[in-house]
Amino acid sequence: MLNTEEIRKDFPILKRKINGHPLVYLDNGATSQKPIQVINSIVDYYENHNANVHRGVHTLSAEATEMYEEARKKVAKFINAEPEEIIFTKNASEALNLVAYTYGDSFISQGDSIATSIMEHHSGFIPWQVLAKKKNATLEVMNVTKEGEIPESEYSKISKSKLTSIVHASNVLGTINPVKEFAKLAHENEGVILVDGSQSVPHLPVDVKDLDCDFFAFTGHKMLGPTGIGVLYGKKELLEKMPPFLYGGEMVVDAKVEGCKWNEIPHKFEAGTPNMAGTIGLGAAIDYLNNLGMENVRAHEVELLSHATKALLEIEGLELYGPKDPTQRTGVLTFNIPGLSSIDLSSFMDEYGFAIRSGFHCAQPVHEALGILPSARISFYIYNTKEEIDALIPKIKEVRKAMS
Amino acid sequence: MSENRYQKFVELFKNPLNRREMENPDVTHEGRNTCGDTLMVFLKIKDGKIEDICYQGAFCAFSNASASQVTEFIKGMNLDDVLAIDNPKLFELIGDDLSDNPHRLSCILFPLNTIKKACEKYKENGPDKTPQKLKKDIDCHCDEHNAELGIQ
Ligand SMILES: Cc1ncc(COP(=O)(O)O)c(C=O)c1O
Repeated sequence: MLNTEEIRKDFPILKRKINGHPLVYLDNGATSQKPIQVINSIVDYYENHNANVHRGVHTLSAEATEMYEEARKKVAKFINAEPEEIIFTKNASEALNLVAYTYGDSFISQGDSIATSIMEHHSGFIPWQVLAKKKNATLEVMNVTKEGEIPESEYSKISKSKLTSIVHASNVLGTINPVKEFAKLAHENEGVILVDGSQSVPHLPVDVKDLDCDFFAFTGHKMLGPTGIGVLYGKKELLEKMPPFLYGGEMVVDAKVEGCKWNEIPHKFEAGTPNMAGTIGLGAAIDYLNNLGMENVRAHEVELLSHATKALLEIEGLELYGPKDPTQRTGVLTFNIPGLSSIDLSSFMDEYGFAIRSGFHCAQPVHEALGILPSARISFYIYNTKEEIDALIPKIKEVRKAMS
Repeated sequence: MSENRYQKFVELFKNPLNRREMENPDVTHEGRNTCGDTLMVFLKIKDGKIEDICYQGAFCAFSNASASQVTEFIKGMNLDDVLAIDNPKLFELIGDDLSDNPHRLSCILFPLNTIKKACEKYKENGPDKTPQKLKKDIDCHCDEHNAELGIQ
């Protein structure tokens, strides 16, 4: 179990008051807060080691390069990959687009199918919609049941597709998709699979070899890391046969007027000066999570989920979306209260210091598929407590009462 | 909830002005805000003036407050005068410019923008040929949406 009391001491922002009330931060699905260890790692980098990486023989450049590559090793180990299979991007959106622009552009042709689901974040949906249009390919969108799960009857969309892109855990429904099973299905039919792990890696132990996915994308800022740093994992043999994404310095080994020879992976996909401080911050975030143990992170979340699910469902009329079983979902709880718009709820809860999200959460298609209005969402992380949930529920009730 | 600075919005939410539907409107328009809220306005127009106006839909208390005040104000007005209403005037009607909460600014601009679209539509095309109806329940738009996007 996590010692939240100790953990909270590491997060300077949790001392803040919002509108005179202690901050209760429940918008971790959007971005997590940062522990002092991560903040300090970035300060230390700029104060003591800053130089461009892979470019100089001087001491600082060597140090910066080592720190940068060390972070890559940490990321690789964290998801059980090899360091050369880890490409640094600016966020998950860029990682997902990278696959669309390189693998998609080279290997998807007219008449092919691309499978995805209706519960994708816009960043995991639009790249395929655009690619399909450009290539005259078909986009096969797997639908969800009322409970927020992809029914087996939709799986055939994976079997017929050359590329499947699927979210590991939905940022609206919390649903954890059976991506290992999806990967098997894709491979049996000579397809490849990309998993969007933006909402899973921060919350669950993830092993890309065990999942056997071909690509896996996630984003640093949702897992205690800084903004501006994301990750794309790709199987070595696939990365090697893909063309580069962006062109420029670092991704080329031999640049001549007649033509160029690309650098080895992963550098082939990292044109230009990378986000060194961001990578180092992400490395510090991974150290922090490893220290806690991802099994414990997950157990804490399941406990909060059980507690909050029960409490929310006691609010009369409240509609909670996604699987009801906390072990089948990650720590996001999305709901609506009839007659109370989610944006008003969010504004009025802010008056009491509660940070909760409202709207479509960059996932409009799933709202439309389920026929639901823009929704309110609370999402947890390692520093959240049952006491915070116990404080939240009466305030929601109060707002609702005042508005009816 | 204790009294807060949005108390007047809350009061109008509980007792909105002109929040209803209209039997035989001359023109309607359904607006959609970027947050996903929808609001339909119904206008009865006589001799270039707004004889009656009302609205309905799924929107927040801020939009509701704005719609309440704006519709009250523009009854009897010329369409051109309605089209000329600017933000300072709108803020004056609402009694708040949300300068310390710019995140919610679009909520209060949304009703007036929707009304202006209806006025422009009327000026250009005259009365609606086929009157639109407010959808009672939000239903699944997937097929429509997919068709629009060219997805099967
Ligand atoms: C499931 C999912 N995919 C992708 C993203 C995009 O992440 P980013 O905005 O960091 O690119 C998010 C976060 O907003 C998400 O929740």
